[in-house]
Amino acid sequence: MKNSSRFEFSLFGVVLLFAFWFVVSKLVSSDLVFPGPEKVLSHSYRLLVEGKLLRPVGLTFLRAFFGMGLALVAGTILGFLMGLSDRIYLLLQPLNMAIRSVPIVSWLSTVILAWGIGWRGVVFIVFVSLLPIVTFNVCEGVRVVDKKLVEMAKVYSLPKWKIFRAIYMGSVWPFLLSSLKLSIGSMWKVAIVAEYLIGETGLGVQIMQAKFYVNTTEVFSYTLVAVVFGLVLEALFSSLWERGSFEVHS
Amino acid sequence: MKCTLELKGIFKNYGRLPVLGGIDLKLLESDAVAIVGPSGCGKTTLLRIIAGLEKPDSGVINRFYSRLGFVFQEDRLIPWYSVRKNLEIICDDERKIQRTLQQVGLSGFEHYKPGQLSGGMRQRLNLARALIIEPELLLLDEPFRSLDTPTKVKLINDLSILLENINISYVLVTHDMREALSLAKHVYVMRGRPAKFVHHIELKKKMDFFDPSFLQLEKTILSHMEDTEVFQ
Repeated sequence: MKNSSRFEFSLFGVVLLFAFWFVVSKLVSSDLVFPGPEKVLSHSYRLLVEGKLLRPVGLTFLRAFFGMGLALVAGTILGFLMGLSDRIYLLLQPLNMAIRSVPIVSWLSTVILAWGIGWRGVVFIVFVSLLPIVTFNVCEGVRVVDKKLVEMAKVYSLPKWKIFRAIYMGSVWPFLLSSLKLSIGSMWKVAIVAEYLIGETGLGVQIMQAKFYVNTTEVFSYTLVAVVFGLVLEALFSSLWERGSFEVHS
Repeated sequence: MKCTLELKGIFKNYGRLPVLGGIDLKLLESDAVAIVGPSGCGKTTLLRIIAGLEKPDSGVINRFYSRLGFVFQEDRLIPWYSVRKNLEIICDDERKIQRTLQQVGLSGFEHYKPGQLSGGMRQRLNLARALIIEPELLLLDEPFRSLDTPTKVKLINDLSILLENINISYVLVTHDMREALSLAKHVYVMRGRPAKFVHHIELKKKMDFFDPSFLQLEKTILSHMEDTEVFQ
């Protein structure tokens, strides 16, 4: 399909979504339960003009990004260790699986007792939510490294850092990018949930406050902003991916 | 003449399976040796032992070289690196990269990735990677196995001329008599379980594919490989 046709179809999909939303809101006919898109859009615009939108979005993004960055660094190191050594794999795999299965709310008591309400808890929850994804992906990337390439490198007495950079990093790279793609999709949602529960500022807190005052239109407005921002982030990453911006230097 | 490699009484078992049963080999400077034998008889194992990728169970290996090149059966190229980068990680001397690419006929393909090259070109790059370090000993493990006949004949001819010019010692392992006779001056026939050298032929000169005495020699080697007189 041509690029222009693809764009037209996507645009039509968005129009269809708003039309469906509009019809449902008319059927429900209660702004308290399900406000329509025209009300939500105009409320979002008002929030933007009043300066109540950009700051929470920025703060939530910073926390989510910081948590993801930490998870990428720690997950890459752990993934490499687990992929290279069977002993470390057997030692850390149960812990990795346990972290993956712990629900976000279960971290709350520990986080609140450790740091109280605030940004650190949010960053930590984003970090622990993404860490197993990155670790698992990097570990898999290391485990599928072509041993024949490593053997070739040994025949030519390549130094270890060259073997690491040329063979291991090249093999792990697609796995790391795939975990980055998954993380970008998740970090945003996890950060908002964490802010909702233990945050002081940010989009999650705004949603929580709007819900407290039974302002459903405002809840929908912040949710719409969160969805749009999340989609833009994913689209941006996908576009860079398709352009080959993340290819291993050849 | 200076000795490049000496193997004395090399034995190797894989668990309870005997593979090599006392291999002796002496390789002098500029020697061109081919080891032929049926598939699975232990030729590659012997080459891996020479390269230090495996240890023999017993025996002595005396290595009198400092640089070793290995042309693998499968090309073992780094798929995400270009032709140039595949050579650059072995040797970053620009002059040598250009010269080697020219030697193997890959000039102009520097920026291609292995996946964009034909099987023959990938094997040329595999060879270039081995030659760029200017090895004193070159090991070739059935390098033409996966190629079609015209590509194989062309590559063997090119390689024969190239190796003649650069004057290095090499050991070619193959089950194809034509490859062995085209590239080597000494042909060792390997056979049995555990495998040993059962026959050695010294050629006055390397042969080309269309040499009239080719068929007779091929028959002789086959008879030693199969332990029966064939084609009688």
